[in-house]
Amino acid sequence: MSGGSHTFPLVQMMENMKQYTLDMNKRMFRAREVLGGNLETGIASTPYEVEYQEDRVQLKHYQPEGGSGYNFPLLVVYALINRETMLDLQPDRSVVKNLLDSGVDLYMLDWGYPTQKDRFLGFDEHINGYIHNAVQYILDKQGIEKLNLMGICMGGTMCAIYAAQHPEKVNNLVLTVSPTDFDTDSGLLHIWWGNKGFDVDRLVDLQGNVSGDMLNINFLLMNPARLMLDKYVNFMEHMDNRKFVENFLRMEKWIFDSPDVPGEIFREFIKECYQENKLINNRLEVGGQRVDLGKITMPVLNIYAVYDHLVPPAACEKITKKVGSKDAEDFAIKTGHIGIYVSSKSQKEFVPKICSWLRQRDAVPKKAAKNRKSRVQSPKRTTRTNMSSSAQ
Amino acid sequence: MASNENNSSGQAGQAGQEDLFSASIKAGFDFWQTAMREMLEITNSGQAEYRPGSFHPFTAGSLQELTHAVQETWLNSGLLDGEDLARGVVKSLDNAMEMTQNWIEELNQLIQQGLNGIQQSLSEPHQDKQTPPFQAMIEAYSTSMQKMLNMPKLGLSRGYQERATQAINKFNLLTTVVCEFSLLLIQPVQHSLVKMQHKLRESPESGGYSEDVKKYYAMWIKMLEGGYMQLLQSPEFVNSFHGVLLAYMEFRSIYEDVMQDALRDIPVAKKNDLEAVYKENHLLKKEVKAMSARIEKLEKKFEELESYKHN
Repeated sequence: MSGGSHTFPLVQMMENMKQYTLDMNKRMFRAREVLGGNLETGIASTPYEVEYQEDRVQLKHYQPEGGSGYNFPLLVVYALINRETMLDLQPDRSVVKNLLDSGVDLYMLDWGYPTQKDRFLGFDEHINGYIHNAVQYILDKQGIEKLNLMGICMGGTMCAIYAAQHPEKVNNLVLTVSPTDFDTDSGLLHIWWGNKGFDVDRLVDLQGNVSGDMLNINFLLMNPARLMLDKYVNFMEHMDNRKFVENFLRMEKWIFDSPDVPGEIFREFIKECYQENKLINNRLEVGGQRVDLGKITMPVLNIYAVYDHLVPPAACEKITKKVGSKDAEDFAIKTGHIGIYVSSKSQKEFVPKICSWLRQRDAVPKKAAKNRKSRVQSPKRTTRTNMSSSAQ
Repeated sequence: MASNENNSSGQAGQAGQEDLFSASIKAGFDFWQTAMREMLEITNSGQAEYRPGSFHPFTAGSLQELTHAVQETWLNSGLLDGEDLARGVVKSLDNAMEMTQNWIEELNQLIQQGLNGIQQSLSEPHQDKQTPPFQAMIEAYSTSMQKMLNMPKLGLSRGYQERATQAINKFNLLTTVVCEFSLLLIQPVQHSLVKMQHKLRESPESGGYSEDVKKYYAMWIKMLEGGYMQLLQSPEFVNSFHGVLLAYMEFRSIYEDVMQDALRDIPVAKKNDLEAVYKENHLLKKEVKAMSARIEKLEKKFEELESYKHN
């Protein structure tokens, strides 16, 4: 506060307050037009086709305009918490669009909205069921034996398990902000959920699925000052700026679009991973089979965010030392858990890194190339969907 | 002598009550006899006319008759003037009033203890270690109101009563832990405001005051964030957080039981029924998938055998 007054500048502060209130009044007046006008707040506006569906789970296919520039398609598996629409939040900050622009033939799993009938679905049903069937669909359709697999957050944990149990199907594995080592106190979730005082059995037995709202309260509690107060103060200060408001509303829309999490998988995730840390120690069993990370022999790219408060670096770093692959790389980006996908800064780092890394590992073995020609099938098209919407 | 008097008046009272009971029974029978007679007469004369939302004349008339008869019986019995009954009634009323007064006093004490706790917590935010503000209230609750709610229930509706009172009990406990948790969440706000005051006091020595209000806001929000980061990692917060979850789950569980009781007579599926269906559906689906996989394997083997045969 150098250069300030040495007596409390009450009069000047009152004058400032008055000016601030007058400015706010003007801003409110302008904001009326912005908020009452036609706001473009649609998310996930990149066109895609739903090519495969099993129960509530859909497999979306995004095709690059100029055709695929890679030999292997990329399947992205999002977490069961929140929705994959975050990867396509707005046209100028879209991981999906950036991947397509780089020529990636992109598939993405949309987990949908679980209902109570999904409460008994655990790791096995999600990994050896939904993920495996989606992978098999893509492989059959394209007549290939392997694909590139990329996991987001909890989706990455599931992808690591899948790659360990079905290494023959995965060409390259990309993990992004994916927790695999839960023995850390550097993130609040690890402190809250990792504590055995958190009786997840009782919660799941009682509620069935774990409600998205309940999880959201959990996430908001992680930083109440910023997420419940400062964020909205900031909104008030910029609410006359149409672009700011549109982006803010898109994010708000995504944050609170929270499907419930199937009870059984939540129970397994908390107990087996957060509380007992079985995955990194090769003690986790899925579908009656032990998950041996040593069986992950394909190249692995492990991307994490340095300032991630949900999945801290300590929860991500160890996996590259535990996998059986000799080609395993850690890549840290100086941003947060969500920022890694949506911040303008990481747009320049995140997708370019993935694409260049995949391109270097895109060679098709001769035997597989021969098979490929003989097994190509025509795609089964079902629906074409565009989720663009407006706040009106 | 006194005991004799008591005995004789007691016997008289008992006899009077018997008379009253007989008279009431008689009045009841008279009512039904009159009603049946009237109904037969109406049916025979073809006067019966149904008007929705109103008593049939014969019923309304007969009800009036019954009420009148019962009133007459009670008044004529003279029992309401009797000393024993009057004393009994007054005594019972006294007891009920005393009991209610006791509960109100205990409730007041509970609320007062809770308020004291809140006040103490808010006025001493700088003290890191203090007794949980609601501890006294919880203890007082467990020795008073909770005991009443936990009293054994009797009779046919015992189960329903037990669940209903337990729902009230668990709701009270949930409210208490939520209050305690909320108080804990307010603490960083208190701390940051106190810190902010200190900072303002120190301003003249450390470069002077700023005229920009936003700077103070930024400073405060940073302090608040820091305060929360410290609190959210503390065992105190984690325990309280888990305590809220546990209390919520306990309340929710008994609340659902009460709701299921309430739904018993309504023709809708209950949560338990649906869960049984979901479970069965899940198991069947698993079985079907396993069978499909087996069939697929068998078909492949069969194809192999066929091609082997042809070759």
